[in-house]
Amino acid sequence: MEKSAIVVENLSKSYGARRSLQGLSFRVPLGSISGFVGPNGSGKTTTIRTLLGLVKATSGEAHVLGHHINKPGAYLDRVGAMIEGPAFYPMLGARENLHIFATMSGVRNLNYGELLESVGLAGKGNDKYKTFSLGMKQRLGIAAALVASPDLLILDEPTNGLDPDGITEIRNLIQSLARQGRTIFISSHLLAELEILCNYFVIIKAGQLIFEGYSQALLQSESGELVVQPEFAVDLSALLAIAIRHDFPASIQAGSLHIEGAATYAADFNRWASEDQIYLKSLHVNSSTLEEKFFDMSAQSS
Amino acid sequence: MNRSQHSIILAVTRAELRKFRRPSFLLTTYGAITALAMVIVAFAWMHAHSAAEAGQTQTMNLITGYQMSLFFLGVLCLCIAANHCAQEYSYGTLRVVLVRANSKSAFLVGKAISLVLYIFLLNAYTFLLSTVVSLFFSERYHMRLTAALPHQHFLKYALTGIEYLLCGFVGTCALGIFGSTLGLIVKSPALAISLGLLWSLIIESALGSALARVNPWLPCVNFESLATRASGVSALSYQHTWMMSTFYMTGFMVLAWVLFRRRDVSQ
Repeated sequence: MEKSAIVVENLSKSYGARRSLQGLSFRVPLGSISGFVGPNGSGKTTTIRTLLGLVKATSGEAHVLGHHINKPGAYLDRVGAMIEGPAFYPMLGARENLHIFATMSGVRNLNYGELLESVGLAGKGNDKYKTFSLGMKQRLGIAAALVASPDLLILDEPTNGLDPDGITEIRNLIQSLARQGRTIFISSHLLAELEILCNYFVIIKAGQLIFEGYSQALLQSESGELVVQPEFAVDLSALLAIAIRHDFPASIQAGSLHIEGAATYAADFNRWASEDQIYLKSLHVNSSTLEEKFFDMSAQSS
Repeated sequence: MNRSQHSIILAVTRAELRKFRRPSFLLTTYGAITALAMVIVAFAWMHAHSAAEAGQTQTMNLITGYQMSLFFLGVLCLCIAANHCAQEYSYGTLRVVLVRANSKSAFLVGKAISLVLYIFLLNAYTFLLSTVVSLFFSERYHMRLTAALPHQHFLKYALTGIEYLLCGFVGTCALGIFGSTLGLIVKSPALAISLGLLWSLIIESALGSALARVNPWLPCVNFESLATRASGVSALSYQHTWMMSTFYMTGFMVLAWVLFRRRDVSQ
């Protein structure tokens, strides 16, 4: 079985009468960039807090980097986290704040300049945190999560408040961290961003799992739509006939033929068209976006 | 690699002391205590000088100034400690530091040690400052040095001074622990400081005035009495103040520890 950085089994958490997590189970593969998706109040932050030992689960179990969450001291040295946005001492500078967190982590001789540069805060080390913009605070939050050079990085809304350039920089940083073999677990509402970044998804709603798996399984299901455009528009009706001949429901829309449930038949369709002397200008699978999938799954689970 | 508890405590203490070391904080606290101690000691000596000139018996010595400054030092320590603990909640940094320090108990102990060290430094500074100012006034008013000292010999004076410094330190520490506990309970610096000042300055005074028999059992009365080595307004016995202060300090520390350990970090 594939090794997992996080394993959650039947986890429940109640705050009085309110049940935040209801038997949640999922796993996060080692070395993956996993997206943690769910609407507000679905239990994402509670799950993250539980994994980090900040909140005690009412029932169920979880393991982080092979250690039970009852003993967070056994694994937290190998975990970097930014939970519910960055949090620092406003009266101190960026470098001083990082120094405090590094000292608490038992980290010495950290190259603060390099760390700040890696998150796009070069030259800002002596600026007080309270003078930072939201984007700069986010960057510093990610830098703080990296002070102990963690194997597992848990980030809650890491690109919140960043401009497009900043989002791209943080995306590149996260991808480079993943290439170094680290596991990244990201909770975010920016679904388009997660779609680009993540190769594994955990989707929850009302404290329960509604999907868990690799992005291909989520976004490129067999029921996907194949969109075919012939070289000459006059061949559209002939292409429609080919689709019907092979039992695929299809329709002509804006100069293209849309064939339902044929996502895995692209090569076959290209060959069938060629056999009938029809040459294709374009052929692509119309995958669902993460956003569409998320709304579909949310609606189904309701 | 798991870090041992003592290495986490040491790391937290170092990190917390770094926060205390920032210039704006040092300037504010030491500036406040310098101004207050100098004013208090100067007034005390001027009053003693006037009394001596009028032929009344004066009871000033080099330690009286420090003892009189302890009331403000205690209030300052209460405010610093309450703010020091509650700000982790108000800034939201508790969730970050607990992930980094990864032990609630070690974090609390490290924080307490840094606070105690800072309070000790404040006490030592106030003691030295008030002694220097007292020496200055004893010279200025040409008061006999033997009258300005509790004992004639330097060694005896030093030992007496250390004893008074220790009492002042423990008494102000007790107020600091009281402030820390309030900070951990209410999670808001402003509210913790307000409650601490309200209790120590107003409620206890009112209770003591209305019901004189409860006075010896009130926490801040005992802390103040201990700090001034049982020579404060309440005039409680030295043994009694030690016993009651130890009882309250232990109680506050246990309460803070239990609450901190049991509560989820939801901020």
